[in-house]
Amino acid sequence: MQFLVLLIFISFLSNTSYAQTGHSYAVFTLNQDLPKLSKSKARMLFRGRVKSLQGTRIELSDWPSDHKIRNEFYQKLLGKDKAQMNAHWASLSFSGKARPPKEIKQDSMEVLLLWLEANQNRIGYAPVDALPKHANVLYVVQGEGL
Amino acid sequence: MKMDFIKAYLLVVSFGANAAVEITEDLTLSGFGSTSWAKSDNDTPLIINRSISDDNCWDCDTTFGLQLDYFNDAFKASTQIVKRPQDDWSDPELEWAYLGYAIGEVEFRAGRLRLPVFLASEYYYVSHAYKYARPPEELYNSILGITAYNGFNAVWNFDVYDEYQVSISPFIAFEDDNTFDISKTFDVAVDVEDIVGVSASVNGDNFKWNFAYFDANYDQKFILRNAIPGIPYLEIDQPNRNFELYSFGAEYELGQWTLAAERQLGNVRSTWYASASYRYNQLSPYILYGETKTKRTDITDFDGKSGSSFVAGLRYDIRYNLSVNVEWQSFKSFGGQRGSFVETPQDSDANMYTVMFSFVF
Repeated sequence: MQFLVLLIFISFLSNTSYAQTGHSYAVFTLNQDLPKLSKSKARMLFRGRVKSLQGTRIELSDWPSDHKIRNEFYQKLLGKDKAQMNAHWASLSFSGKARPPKEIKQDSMEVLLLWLEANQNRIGYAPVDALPKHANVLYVVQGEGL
Repeated sequence: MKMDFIKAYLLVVSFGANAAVEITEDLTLSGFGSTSWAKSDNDTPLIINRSISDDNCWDCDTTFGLQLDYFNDAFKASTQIVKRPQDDWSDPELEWAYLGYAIGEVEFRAGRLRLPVFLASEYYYVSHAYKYARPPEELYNSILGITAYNGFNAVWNFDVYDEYQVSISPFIAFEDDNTFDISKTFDVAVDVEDIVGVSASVNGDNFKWNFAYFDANYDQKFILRNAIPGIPYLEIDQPNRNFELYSFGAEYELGQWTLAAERQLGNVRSTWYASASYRYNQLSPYILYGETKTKRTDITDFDGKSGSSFVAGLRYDIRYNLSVNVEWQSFKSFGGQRGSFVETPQDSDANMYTVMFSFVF
């Protein structure tokens, strides 16, 4: 019983880790041929439920696991925290249904852009104000999923 | 046994493996594990392949799996080795090993594959991926815990109205032998001759539906050791048997609620469960109720409700890839049937308590 009370207490304390900021996030690619996404299509893409667009198999990227951009993006797009997303991708990857997003090794926009440039079927996300001019913005996430 | 699990977990942590280990750009190693303390108040063991009774059990649920994936454009190779709850650490099971190739929206696979029957069938051993400590017992153990087959499948994915993703997967399985240690005195050997089936799913933004049908032909053998006074060993052959199964399941996410229900209809038994869970910060309280109905066959004259269980539990995400479940499960068996017990119990009711830790990397 004491263990349960402790868990609940810790849970309340950690509530503040999901405080929102005013950032908008763009789902984007460097491939100019990929189409704009509807809200539900963007959500299904990052749930691993859509694997291809216009017949092209898509590879997704993620920011490093503890990065603020990653946590805020999933909160705003899907209303999910990191643990929920981890459990969700575990269900897909350990059933062979989908490959989890590629986690970039450094929290750097340059590293993300290099990864996207290497293949036309790659899609990432980043704060709107950090995007390069040649980015093809597929969807903008702003305070959704909450 | 418990030390082996701790060593496995420490090995994972020492790799710094918060996420899957990327060996090369195309080759990835990932894994999962669970371990628990579990105890019931009935001396007849509960749950096939886990056998939880009124002794403290630190090893009834211990699971550890490793998965190696190779991706190269349309080509994929994957293998998964699992120390299942019923396995010794020295004798894990090859749960899958297959080659896959995608042509457009259709992926073809050949090798040892996971049987795609229920919503969570394909990640049956990954406790961290679902809310409960164990998959709903009535449904997921209704096919004797068989989780894999040798054969082929094709997976065809397509969009409907640009809002829904549909997946249709016919599959065919060939010769496969499985032996299940039901109790100290009773084993069941199932020699599958062939299975033909199809599974289909519809995925929307906040829901998932699953349908499956399969028809299996198999030989079954009951093996009794010292079960009857004066007879140390007895085999009872039941050749040329058929098992037919239909299943339907749905899961909905409504805000912080997740609601799920599944139904299985077969010629031997039918089962169902319904569950609800609520997410509050890192806590997810949940409830689940399930029932089994046994059908009259040449093995039993009984026809009716044979078992039920109710689960109340709480999952806490200690870290994003490490969780703990604290769970109470109440079991009932009816009509002198075994229900969720591994053999017919003296006392038809049981309460089971579980604390289970699970992780993935």
